[in-house]
Amino acid sequence: MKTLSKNNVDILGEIVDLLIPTKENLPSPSKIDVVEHIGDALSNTPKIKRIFVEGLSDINNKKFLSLPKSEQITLLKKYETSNGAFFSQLLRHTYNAYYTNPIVVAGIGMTGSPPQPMGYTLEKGNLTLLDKVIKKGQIWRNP
Amino acid sequence: MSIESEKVDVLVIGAGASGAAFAWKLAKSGMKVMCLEQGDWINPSTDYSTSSPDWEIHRQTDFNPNPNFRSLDVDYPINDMESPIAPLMYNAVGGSTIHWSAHFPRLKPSDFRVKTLDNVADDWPLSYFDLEPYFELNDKMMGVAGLNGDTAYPPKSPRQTPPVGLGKLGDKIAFGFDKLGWHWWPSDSAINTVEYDGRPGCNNCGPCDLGCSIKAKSSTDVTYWPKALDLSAELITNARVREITIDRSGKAKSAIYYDCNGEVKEQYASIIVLASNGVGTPRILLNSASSRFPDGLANSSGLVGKNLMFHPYSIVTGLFDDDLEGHKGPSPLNIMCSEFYETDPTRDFVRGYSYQVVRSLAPLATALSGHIPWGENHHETFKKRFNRTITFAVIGEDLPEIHNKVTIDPELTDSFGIPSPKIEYELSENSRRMLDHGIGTATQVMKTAGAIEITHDPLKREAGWHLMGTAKMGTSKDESVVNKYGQTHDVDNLYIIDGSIFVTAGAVNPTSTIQALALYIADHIVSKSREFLSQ
Repeated sequence: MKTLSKNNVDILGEIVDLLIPTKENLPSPSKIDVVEHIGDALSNTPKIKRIFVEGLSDINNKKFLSLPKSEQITLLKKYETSNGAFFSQLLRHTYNAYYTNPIVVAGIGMTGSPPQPMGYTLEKGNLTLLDKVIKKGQIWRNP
Repeated sequence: MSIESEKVDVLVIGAGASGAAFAWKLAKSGMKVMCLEQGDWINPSTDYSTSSPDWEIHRQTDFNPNPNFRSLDVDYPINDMESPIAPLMYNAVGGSTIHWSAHFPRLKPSDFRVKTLDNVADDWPLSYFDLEPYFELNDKMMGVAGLNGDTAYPPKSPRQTPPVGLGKLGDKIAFGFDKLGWHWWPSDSAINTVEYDGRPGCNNCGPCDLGCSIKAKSSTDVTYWPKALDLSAELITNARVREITIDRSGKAKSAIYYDCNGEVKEQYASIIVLASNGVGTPRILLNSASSRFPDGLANSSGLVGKNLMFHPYSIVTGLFDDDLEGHKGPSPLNIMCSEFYETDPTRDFVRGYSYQVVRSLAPLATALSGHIPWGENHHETFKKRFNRTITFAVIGEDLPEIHNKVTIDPELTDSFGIPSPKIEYELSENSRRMLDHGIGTATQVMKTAGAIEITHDPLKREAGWHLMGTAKMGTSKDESVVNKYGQTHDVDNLYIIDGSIFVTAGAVNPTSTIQALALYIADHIVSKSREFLSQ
């Protein structure tokens, strides 16, 4: 990935797995190329890329990769409040990449396919619940 | 130096909801009609994202309804720093019907008589019943899904297709309305639920706002425009109008525009018609100032750009225990509640509001909703919310106020240097009280239906879908911009047919009424065509 340095890629890989841990049939972000997707997205948005690079560089200065997991989480919580601009972009890009992955979309109970071309079957619903409305009669105001 | 073109009978500026309907009606009469559209054609089968895994991300980027975020070449930026509501629009053939949710309610009879009934704002110079035949014609042309018998409206002709399905989610919330004995109805939607007019029925894929690749949603690029073009209407895309010129006698003479190559062109016409929405139309008029009209074209009243009305929205969301399959079906469920629509003197506000019911958020939108924590509890919380929320959009009637306005920003321009609009808007006390009442009653419905958690946003910012009032219709030259036929008081061959001419906003989506007005005005122009074309 050219958008982010190797060190930033490593840090980001560790972070995204803390943001979204693996669970049952839902993979960890690093297993489904979330970091690569973030890099691709940042390549089109120089302003946000700068926020990312600065944020990751700052985290790197705290020797993030060598910290135990619990301290990594504590550090991220600090960034969530102290550097909201970076953290909100970090979350948004992580979620963007994760929740558009077909494996994840299938894992949350959908078909895993995009909405088209198959669409879905929808129940018509219970229109007898309109009976009271009909019985009540006209509510529009005749001027 | 501009390049001149052959004169046409009628030149329409804007190919959206009103421009499309109008161009079709004029072309049908045999008049030579041309339309200039700022955007381009969209190919539904290749240009929409809903067949792609990353479809939801397009809401944040190239399909963002806010032109300031979308920033496509065809868009113009809008200074909305002084407004709590951001104006939304789409620039393409079909205009904002490309990304609309296809809600298709009509204004109600009382909406046209608010001065007489409630002593606020002004009456319209025409009535619901004057427009009724045009509503009916427009429904037939667009194709409307719905259920006859809505007690909140005078009777209508049979809807073209059956109503949009309620699904489990609709049944859940209908149960709440039923328990309270309040009005609800599967309201009109411009969506084919079965095949109609050569277009297929909806396959309930969900995100109508990202465009309909199967053409079940009735955007005007797939309804009116193919028919208008068959009747020899001419449509020029990527044509950005800079100004309208006038001749020595004060009549509209031509539109000057940039073509797709940035070349300046001048198009002459016997009649010029603005259909560029409630922000774009005043922008063009104000950008067309001249020695004869120093404050902007057709602006002797000083009202061009004034009285801007949005529909202010409050959002109320209920979370439920059970899986409501909320991703299935058109995202706007098209249940509408009119229980609180009309004025009730026991309340602390005048006029009223509607609710629309919206289905659950899609996966990415759920994750980004602000309710899902990162870390250990992420998946568990996601599972408890995904497919289990119902949202009400509480739509208040915004009354016209002179200080809510569109002006020309002194610095901001589009990429061709055409000055951009600036929006100044404040929510009125009446609207605030109305929305607060709506939040209260919507919360009551949610609780009654069994919601386990209810949250609300008192005023949604990204909700300026409806742009109205900035070239008001009326009988007096001093108190309005156009007469009851959309004809400007100042320039008799200049017409306006979009939401700008609304006198008041009602509390429902305006597109059906905008299009009915466009057809009504088209009929008037056809009846006067001999007079205009002989000049």
